[in-house]
Amino acid sequence: MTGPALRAVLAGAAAVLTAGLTACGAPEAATPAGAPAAAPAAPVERIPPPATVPETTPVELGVPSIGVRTGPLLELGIDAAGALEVPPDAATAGWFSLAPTPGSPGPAVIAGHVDFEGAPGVFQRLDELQPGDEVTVTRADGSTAVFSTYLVERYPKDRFPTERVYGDTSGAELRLITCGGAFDAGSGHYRDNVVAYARLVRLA
Amino acid sequence: MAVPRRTRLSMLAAAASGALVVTMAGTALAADRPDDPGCSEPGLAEVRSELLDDACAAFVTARAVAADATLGTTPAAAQDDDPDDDPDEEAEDSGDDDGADDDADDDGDDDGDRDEGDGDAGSGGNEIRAGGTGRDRDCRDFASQADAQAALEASPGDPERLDADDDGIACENHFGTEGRQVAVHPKGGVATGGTPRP
Repeated sequence: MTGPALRAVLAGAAAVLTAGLTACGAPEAATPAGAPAAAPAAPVERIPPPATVPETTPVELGVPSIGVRTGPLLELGIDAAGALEVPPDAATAGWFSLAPTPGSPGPAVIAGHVDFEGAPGVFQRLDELQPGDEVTVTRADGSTAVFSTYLVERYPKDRFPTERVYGDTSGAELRLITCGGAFDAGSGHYRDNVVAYARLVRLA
Repeated sequence: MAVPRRTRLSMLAAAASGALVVTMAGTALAADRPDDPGCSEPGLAEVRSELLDDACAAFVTARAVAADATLGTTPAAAQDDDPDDDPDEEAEDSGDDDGADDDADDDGDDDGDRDEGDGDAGSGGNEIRAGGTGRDRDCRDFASQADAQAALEASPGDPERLDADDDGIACENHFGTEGRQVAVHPKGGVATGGTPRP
């Protein structure tokens, strides 16, 4: 009698422990009503990883002439204001996932910081890029899309040429975007954007 | 092993009671049982760990909040009846509820046609809806596709039915951008320098 009774007690306790962890954890994870509003997630944290990665998804970027060799590229969407999301740190670059993948027809877009909270950014020297400079993007299938730069321009952010940057193109192109120009200490931001334009040369 | 029968019965009753309470509350969070002792059952004291303490405390808090918010009705009904609810709170509720299902139960198909169409039809532009941000905007309520896209991405489940064809792009027919190589043109410049935006 003692043995079964004790086992029953332990089984009951185990059930309580299991149910408690399951039932108690879920509401907290889902942020119940009445809790303080969660701070906006970091730009890329709310983008879930794709279930399957398309073969042409960009993985890394290289721009040898300005010493750029990135780690894995992040996916960027648009933020709550409708602007392009940006990477959450200085060293990481990201690609705009609502645009074509690099090497596919249309303008692929990769953005990175010129600096970030005082640290030099991955695109610190983007404005030094020259026409003819090579830009390479390795892709998920192991292939490499090789681009040739044909234009580097700087625009005030309030006159950003949306159609010129994001508009349709006749072939596969690439846009590299960062900040530049004067720094506005009041806002903590640069007044301009630097955009490098490149065309696909080959897929290797 | 020489546990007095009375103690064993007490422990059994306590464990069973705790399991019943936690299970019931887990499957029906809105159950209103204010007199329930919750995690302070004396029988649990011998088996619970610090982890369980934390989990149970969170659960009891969540259950109290849910019971207070619903007042015996469903969460969706509570939102519909109270248009003055804090928008942030409603947005959080949408994470718990299935906003898409709520919308489909109301008038999802009709609303979908209106939102992805030219925006001339329909009249429910600002009615209070279950889930989401509490608003039901149409494509014509946005100044740009990027604005509509931002709203779509801010509300999981698309409770406002801005993406009726479910391709992840909001209002492409309304803004005439269907078939563009870049599905959504971001607004303005890019904040790739300095300090992060607040």
